[in-house]
Amino acid sequence: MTDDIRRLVIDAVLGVAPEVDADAIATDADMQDELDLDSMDMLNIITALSEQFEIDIPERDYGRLRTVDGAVAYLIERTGALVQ
Amino acid sequence: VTAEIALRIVALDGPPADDDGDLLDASERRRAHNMRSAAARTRFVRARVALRRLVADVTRVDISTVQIETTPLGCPWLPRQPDIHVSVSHTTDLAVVAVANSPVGIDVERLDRERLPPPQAWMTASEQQTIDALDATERPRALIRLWTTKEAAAKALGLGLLAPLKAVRVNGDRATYVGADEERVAISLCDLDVDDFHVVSAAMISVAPLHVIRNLPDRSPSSPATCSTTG
Repeated sequence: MTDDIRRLVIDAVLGVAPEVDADAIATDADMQDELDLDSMDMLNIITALSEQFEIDIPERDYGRLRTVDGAVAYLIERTGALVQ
Repeated sequence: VTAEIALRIVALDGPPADDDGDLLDASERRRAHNMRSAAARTRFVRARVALRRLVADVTRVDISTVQIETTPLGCPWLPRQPDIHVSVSHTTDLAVVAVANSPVGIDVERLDRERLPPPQAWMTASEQQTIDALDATERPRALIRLWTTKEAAAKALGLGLLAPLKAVRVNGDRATYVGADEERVAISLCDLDVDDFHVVSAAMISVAPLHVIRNLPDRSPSSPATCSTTG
């Protein structure tokens, strides 16, 4: 499940920044520095994940999605909560 | 009474100066080194050097004594000069750096920037109505302008790059930030005409109109202020 969610997060990143080499992403690194993304890119990624997972991601949680690993952990937590 | 911002605009195309890297401290060099994209690394270095030079010129200190740290939310600050506030923004081809004596934010975007996030992710209903009421030819520039205004305000608030932009409510050359606890912060705004390809906005935590000093020459008295929102 974790790998599936990681793939979806990376797909969301590639949707905003198609020039990124998916295999070379350091999943624990800050995406803005690592992938040269700005705040508009990040909000587009968060919006894409919100639609993909059909969850509302409140603004106060945005900071948890700064890395791929952080986004994966957050989405597992949120989708797990929905299943329960 | 006005609130002053010293601002410098730097073209990022062309090769960096030989001594640019030498002007950064160890943590900045490490951060630059960790950036995979050479273009991103160059932009970061040149923007940081421009900010360092502007701080040195405005505060009249030796550039080697200027120390720039970054908050956990990504905002630059000056540990050795805590009463001086700074902000930096860049696109692929232009950097803008700002120095002020109150919390300040700056943002630049290219006018041809595509794929803005959906309105409901960053605009209030009132702002959407204002944009929707515009002529179709005016709407793209107004959207980019609203984005840079909110980003500048969020930076002045110290909220960083993943700020709650809907909480920044823009009304002309003023904005109000409404926090989760209903705390309200007044922000003054200034839109700057740079060229036909970029939009720049400045923001300051202040109720006074902004007075922006652009392209302050090195080590010389202030040049005349130009700001599209001050008379």
